[in-house]
Amino acid sequence: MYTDTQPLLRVEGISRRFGGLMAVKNLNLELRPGEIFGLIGPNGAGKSTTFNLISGFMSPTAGKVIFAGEKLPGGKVGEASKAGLVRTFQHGSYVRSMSVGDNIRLGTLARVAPARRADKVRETAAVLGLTEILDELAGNLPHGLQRLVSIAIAIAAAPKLLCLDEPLTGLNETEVATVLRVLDGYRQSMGRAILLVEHNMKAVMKICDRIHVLHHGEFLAAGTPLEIQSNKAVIEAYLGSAHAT
Amino acid sequence: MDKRFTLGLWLVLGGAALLLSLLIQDFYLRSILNLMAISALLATSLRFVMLMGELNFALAAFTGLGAYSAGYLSTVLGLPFGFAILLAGLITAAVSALFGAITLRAKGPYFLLIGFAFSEAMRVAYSKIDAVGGTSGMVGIYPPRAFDDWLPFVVVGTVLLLLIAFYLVEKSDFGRILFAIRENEDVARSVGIRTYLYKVIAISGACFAAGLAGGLHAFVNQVISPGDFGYLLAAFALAYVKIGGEDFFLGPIVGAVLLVALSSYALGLGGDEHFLYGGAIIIAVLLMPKGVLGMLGKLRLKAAVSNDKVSADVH
Repeated sequence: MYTDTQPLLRVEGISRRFGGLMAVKNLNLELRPGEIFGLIGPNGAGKSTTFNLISGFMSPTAGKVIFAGEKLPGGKVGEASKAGLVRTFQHGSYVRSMSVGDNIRLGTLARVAPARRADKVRETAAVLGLTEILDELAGNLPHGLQRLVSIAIAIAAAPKLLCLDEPLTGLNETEVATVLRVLDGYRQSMGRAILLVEHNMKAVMKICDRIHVLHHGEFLAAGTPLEIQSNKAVIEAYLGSAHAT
Repeated sequence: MDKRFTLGLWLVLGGAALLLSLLIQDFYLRSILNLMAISALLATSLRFVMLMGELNFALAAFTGLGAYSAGYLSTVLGLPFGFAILLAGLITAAVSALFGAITLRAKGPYFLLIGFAFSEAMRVAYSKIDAVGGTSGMVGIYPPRAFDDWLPFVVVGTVLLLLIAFYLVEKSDFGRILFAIRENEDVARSVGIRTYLYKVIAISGACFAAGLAGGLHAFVNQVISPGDFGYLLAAFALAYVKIGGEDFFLGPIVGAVLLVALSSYALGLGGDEHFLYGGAIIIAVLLMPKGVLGMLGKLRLKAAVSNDKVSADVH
């Protein structure tokens, strides 16, 4: 039986190989209920692969993912989302030709009872500040709002763990601030955990409780934002990649 | 469009079609009305699957399956008219569910090609099976005598009921899921929606309607042959959808009415009617990429804008 004192997500020795490339190598991590957990690393560190492995969009070559006390079958999206692990995508995880309201409703369709869906849409829209634009077509919105719609769809699915794949990419500073405020508000009001894969270091340091750093598909460091900022190995990995580019 | 307007539009258009089906006495005009109704249903069925981003060219095969099932059930097994048509629809729905479950792992051009091939295979199969008349087809699929005067009413009424069902489904959560599958299937999957299952249900529902349309066609024509159900049937349905306007529920209906009217008119001009018909399709697709309804919408928008200008000038 799963209780709140156990980790919500436990990744045990997970690996993924693409031909000759080991994209993720023997990775372990634990995510506690209610925390915002950052997964960072330079380009090509294996963040996206790890994310796909956890959310069931890819199956691991070795290792396992245990979510809310249950082992998830690898490579089964449906099983992961049924268990309450819901993810967004880097590029536009919403439906352009539907209204904002219909997009959010889409999120409720598998995990919320029909009678509760309208309320859930209203609730989610309120948390994300989208109430005023429920009738607008998602495709006509500015970039920042579209990102909020993507997050809203996932939140409307009432996830136990919300997994966000680079939700801040391509946003300006005001938009980044809005998304961070919304995520903080979500955590405050729902008390649910977030797994965040993100490039924007300033934002990650600001919002995450704990951070896990990957480098070349392997574990590099873990700790609070303060610990990570002063970690020599992390600084080297990032400076190295900055020199390279 | 608000809800009351939509409901009003349904009542007016549906009522007018039903009234026409009762009033028209001319034999030829009645056959055209039947053809329009059946074509509109087939085109709407095709568009319904297009909502999830797939072109269902197996439509021709399933219309044929409905027609042959209805014909066989009625002429060989002696089932009553209504029962034969309904059962034809259900048989078609079951077979298409199996077809969908196997083929919907493929997408886009691959799925289209499978449907195309399936339609051609079925066409050849009918011509080889003696129990359904081989190449010469089935004859004598008569509706009951009592229905003689009422046949167009029954056809238009049945088609209207199915169109309303399609409309309600499209506006429901099921419709939202189909849209999501077309544009961003991963998003739907990520929130736990079993998209594959929805696709199979969608194609089965669409083909249920195609099966009924085939059954109606069999009784309206009284004669069916393998050649009626080649891939061209699906190609024509696609033309109705594109010319009426794919983005609109009424698009395939408008397209079917216009093109069936045009083809009947062209038929009267002599042997070269397909030339005129094909030309009309090419011109319409080139000049009206959003179909007739899309163009009308654009014109209305233009008129509204110029009206605003006039009133702004006055003030």
